[in-house]
Amino acid sequence: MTRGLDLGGQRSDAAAYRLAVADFGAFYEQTYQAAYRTALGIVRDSALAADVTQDAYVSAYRHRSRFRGDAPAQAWLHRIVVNTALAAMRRRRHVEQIPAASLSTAADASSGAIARLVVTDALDRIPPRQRAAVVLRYYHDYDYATIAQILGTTSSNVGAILTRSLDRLQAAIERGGAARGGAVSHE
Amino acid sequence: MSDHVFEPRIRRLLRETLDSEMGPHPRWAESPASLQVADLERRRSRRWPLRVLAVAAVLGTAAGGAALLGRAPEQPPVPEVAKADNGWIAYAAGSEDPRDPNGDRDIWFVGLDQEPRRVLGTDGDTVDQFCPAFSPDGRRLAYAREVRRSGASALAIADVSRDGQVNDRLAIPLADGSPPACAIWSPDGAYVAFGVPRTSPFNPTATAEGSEVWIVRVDDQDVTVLPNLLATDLEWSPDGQVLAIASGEDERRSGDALQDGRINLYQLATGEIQSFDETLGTYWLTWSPDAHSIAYAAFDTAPASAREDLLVLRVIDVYTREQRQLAGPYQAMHGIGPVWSPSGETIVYQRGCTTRVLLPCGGEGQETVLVDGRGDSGAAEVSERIVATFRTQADDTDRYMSPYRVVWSPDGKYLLVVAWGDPGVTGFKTLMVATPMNRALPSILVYEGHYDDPDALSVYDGYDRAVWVPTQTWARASE
Repeated sequence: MTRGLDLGGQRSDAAAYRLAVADFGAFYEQTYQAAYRTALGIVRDSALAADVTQDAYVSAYRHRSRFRGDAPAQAWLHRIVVNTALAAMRRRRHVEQIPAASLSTAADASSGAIARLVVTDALDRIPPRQRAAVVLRYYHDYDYATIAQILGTTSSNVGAILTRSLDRLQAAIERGGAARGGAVSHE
Repeated sequence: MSDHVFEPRIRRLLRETLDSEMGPHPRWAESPASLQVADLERRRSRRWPLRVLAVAAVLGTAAGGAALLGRAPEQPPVPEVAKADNGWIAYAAGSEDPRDPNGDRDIWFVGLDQEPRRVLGTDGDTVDQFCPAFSPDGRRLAYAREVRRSGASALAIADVSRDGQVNDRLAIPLADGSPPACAIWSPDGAYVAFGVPRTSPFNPTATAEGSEVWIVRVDDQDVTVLPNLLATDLEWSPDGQVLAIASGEDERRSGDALQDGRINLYQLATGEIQSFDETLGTYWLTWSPDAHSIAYAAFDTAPASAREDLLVLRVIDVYTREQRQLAGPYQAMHGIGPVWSPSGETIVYQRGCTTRVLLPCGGEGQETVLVDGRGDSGAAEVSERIVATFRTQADDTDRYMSPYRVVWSPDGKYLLVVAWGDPGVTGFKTLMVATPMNRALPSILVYEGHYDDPDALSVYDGYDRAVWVPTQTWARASE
């Protein structure tokens, strides 16, 4: 069952949301890139991410009456995007292998591009739900409580998921960086 | 909050990576989502007729159906309503291979909110106890007992207390080397029946000759032997007056199945056996709760279906002999024949996967299918629902667990799926999940164990040498 987000203590965004649903098209235009990148970070394939994003907006439109307006509309949207992306991964996993590293091309050989390849390779090595947690935390900067609401788990479990994810990402990126000539710099 | 040293670095790398990907950004007016939203609005303006059509579409879909993808949960509290009428679940654990040093098979009980515990046998007793079957009132347990060293075989019957204590009551010895006595109880608990298949070495030509069906009156242990029946499935009619037997006479087809398998009805009162020749190819069967019909899976005998492994699922009215086909042809490899729900609303069966877009089925992977058991013979299509079990692993991945067999709960509100699969990290596992028919309720993970653990549930549950469907492994809660 889908419930509205209950993010006690966070700023109410009801007015902004009401404005957004009054013109769903404007809401779409304002939030599309963030939603698409969330989907892309999870499904790791640009075409599938585009499909997931479109499906998520349809779902958001269908269920907009369930949004209570006591949380940022974008967090509510991201919950839908994450669920749609994870469902798509479950379906697609059984049909074909997800192509790795579809975010960048090997022909783009700048050090920045190589670093991105290393990151995308590393993201491939963690499960989709962990990828979702990483994207929500380190790309969108959501706090643990919001991520817990989006993923349907507890804040403490979010911490555990992130720690596990970072361990694996760190190992994969350091291995990948070394293999690609140290393109990923250490800080 | 995590203070992982890698946090600042992953934050920077992730932003660089994702920010570099603008991706396609169709304007709202041209986007697929906009088109779908417009379509939703058009439908909403015609709400009532389209709602009706939407329901009909779900009920009328034969091949696709509505899929319930039930993930095995993290052990939510068991609702009291689930425990009210549903008692112990019995299973055999251990190795069926007599050379296996891990030991023999024992019988265990588990409850919806009770940990598994061994109730019959011990490690190293070199006695196999398996094929548990609860009497309809839940107070007795029939099971097969074999002594490994001597080959001595018996049908045993034990008393079961409300708290799950098991005390042997009697044992009926069989000839040494006999197949296991995997019994099925009559509805009043007065009789048990089991097959004695002798396909080898007693019957090298593999016909029904020499094979038997035994009917045992429990009170005085009187045995009636029905000769020359090679049973692939047995089930008592709900009124207890008729034993339906799936058996042919000759021409082995594959495994234990005979080419001319059919439904045979044994009348308990008269001893008469009536064969339904129009059910040629029958392998598994199940009675409707109203005792008017039998659903059966039969090898497809249509000329266009030359493959030996294809089945069709049909229902025959035992009075009018009218038939209708519910499903097929389909392929099935493992042990769920059709089983009618206690309410009569649903028949469950297993087939090779047809919905690979949704489920990762391949090879031995199967899917559990629910079909409407109430349809009339004029219905063009039969509603269908697929129950699938996914297990979430410690690394947060979901793995599909292939069903092996199913049992209805005594109240008919849950379907217990015994499944197995490779979760990837820790090797093969077996599990039992009670899947509610009410989709608003959570599934209940009843049991989970490693496939190779000597005390783990065997998906075969002892029925590796007796092929009929174990339908009496979930007891009614006794008073």
